[in-house]
Amino acid sequence: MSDGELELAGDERLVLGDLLNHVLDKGVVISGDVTISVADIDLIRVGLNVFITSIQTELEHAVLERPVHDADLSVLRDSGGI
Amino acid sequence: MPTYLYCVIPAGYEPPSATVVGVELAPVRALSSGALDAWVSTVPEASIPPTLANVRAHDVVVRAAMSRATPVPARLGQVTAQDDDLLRWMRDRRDALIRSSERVRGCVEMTVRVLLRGGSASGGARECGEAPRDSGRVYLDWLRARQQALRDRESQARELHEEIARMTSGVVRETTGVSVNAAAPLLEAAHLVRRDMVARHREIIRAVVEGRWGLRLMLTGPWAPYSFCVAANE
Repeated sequence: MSDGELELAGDERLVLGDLLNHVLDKGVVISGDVTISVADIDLIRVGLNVFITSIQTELEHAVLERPVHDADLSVLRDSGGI
Repeated sequence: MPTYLYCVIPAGYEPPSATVVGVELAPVRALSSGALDAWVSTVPEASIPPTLANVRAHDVVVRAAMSRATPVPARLGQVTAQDDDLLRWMRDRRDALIRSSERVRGCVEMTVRVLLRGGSASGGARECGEAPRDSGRVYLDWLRARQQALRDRESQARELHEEIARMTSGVVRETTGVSVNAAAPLLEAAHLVRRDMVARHREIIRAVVEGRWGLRLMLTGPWAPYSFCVAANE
């Protein structure tokens, strides 16, 4: 999303996030942690707070408004996002 | 020219074409198929860029439909080659579309989300403090305590979900998309609520969540009932 108008207050961001969630296909807001566990004990935690809606839809439409790097996608895949 | 679909709505409601502009700045019109209309635009290309402007334009049209009746919304990007293809699609799915329309008639969707106040994504882990710098047993004991705190937090989230379900049973027609977690958000759900019960729904949810220490409510809506039915041209 690159309409250059994402200077929003908290509630506006929330509403915008929900708007994207509803209107975009496969809309998901990921906000949480990726954890790597051994024997039920979390050892590494990676913070994550991203929209994947636009990436997924943009890939399907092959219209990319910003570059999507392989690293971004692999993180999302690892987190179960894609 | 391709036909872009916003929503399907009971027949007889004209889109406000003078005041509402659709995706790619296209005018909005109605296509009739028996008891149902589709609100559509003619667009220059079959592929609609998922820009924020188009998302908002789509939402404005669906909201205009909501102000007249209860639409079965489509998501961004539902396009057929021409009007005839969309009309054929509506005829083929007539029964399913009518069922969807009946299911949500007179209702809107409310999105309920409950977070821990302070916004920590790791939630219940906060009770355990910072990870000790010691190695070995002390560290593993800390990790176990943290895991237990997360399990306790998830159990509290489940209780909260059950209480909300009990308290809103008179105003919520259906619930879907329930997610109960130990971390952020603790609870997420989509409620299908009768239009005339939206204020009451908001009141009940606020009372339940704000009556519990350390929780923050994020309630958005009313939305078109995207989580309960979508008009999709598979």
